[in-house]
Amino acid sequence: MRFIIESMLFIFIVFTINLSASSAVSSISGYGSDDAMTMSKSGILAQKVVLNLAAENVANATTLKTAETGLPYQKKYAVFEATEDGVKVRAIQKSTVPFKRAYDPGNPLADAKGFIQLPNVNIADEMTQMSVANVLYEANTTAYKSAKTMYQQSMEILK
Amino acid sequence: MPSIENMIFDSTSRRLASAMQVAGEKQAMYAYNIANAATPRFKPLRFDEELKKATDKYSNEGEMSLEEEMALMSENRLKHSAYSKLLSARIQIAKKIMTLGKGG
Repeated sequence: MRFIIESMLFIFIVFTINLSASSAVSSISGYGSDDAMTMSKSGILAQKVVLNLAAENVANATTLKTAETGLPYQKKYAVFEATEDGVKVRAIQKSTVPFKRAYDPGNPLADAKGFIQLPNVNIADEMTQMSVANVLYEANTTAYKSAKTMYQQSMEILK
Repeated sequence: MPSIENMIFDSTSRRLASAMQVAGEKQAMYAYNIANAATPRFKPLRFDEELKKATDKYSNEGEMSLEEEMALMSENRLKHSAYSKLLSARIQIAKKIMTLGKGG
């Protein structure tokens, strides 16, 4: 009996998550190539944010203390959300992955046992992220150019 | 009895104009899907007939594929280009008629 209730609860939770994942635009009627340009622009800007954050994470991969928290640098990442005019950066969050530890007794930031805490930035991850963001940036640029050409062709009918 | 309006703006022109409008809507849809390629749990929008085709071909219909979106988008652009050229030609013919073969 308990198992049934638990599995039903699980199914309910899965369904709720799926419902929350439904997109912001339900019907595309009434949109045009000018809206396509707005949407592609939002995609370009979103990928630019990702690229900027990846660069910031790499630059701070060895920052042992930040003025804000007094802790080592925490990896930052963007959270996206689908909106009516494309995509939006809902929040920029800090990673809560545990810090790495290293033995460095000579460091002024070392604790009593001689250990320091290193940022939770993984360079390989950041490079991959940057590469993906680069591809998506280009894809959005291509989509923008495509919409622009369509718009121009529609205008040429007036000639 | 055909009116002058029906002679110049016949069903061909009207169909071409609405096909161009649909192409614009589709372009917005592909742009939306591509912009949200990195959004977690995002399901791409699809036109009904495309959804049917996609389910025939693959089993993962709700998944986002950048390559597919780009391919569909360029197909859509070429179609739009064809419609706009045809409509343009139709208007040129109408102009020719209206000016008794002089203008256009």
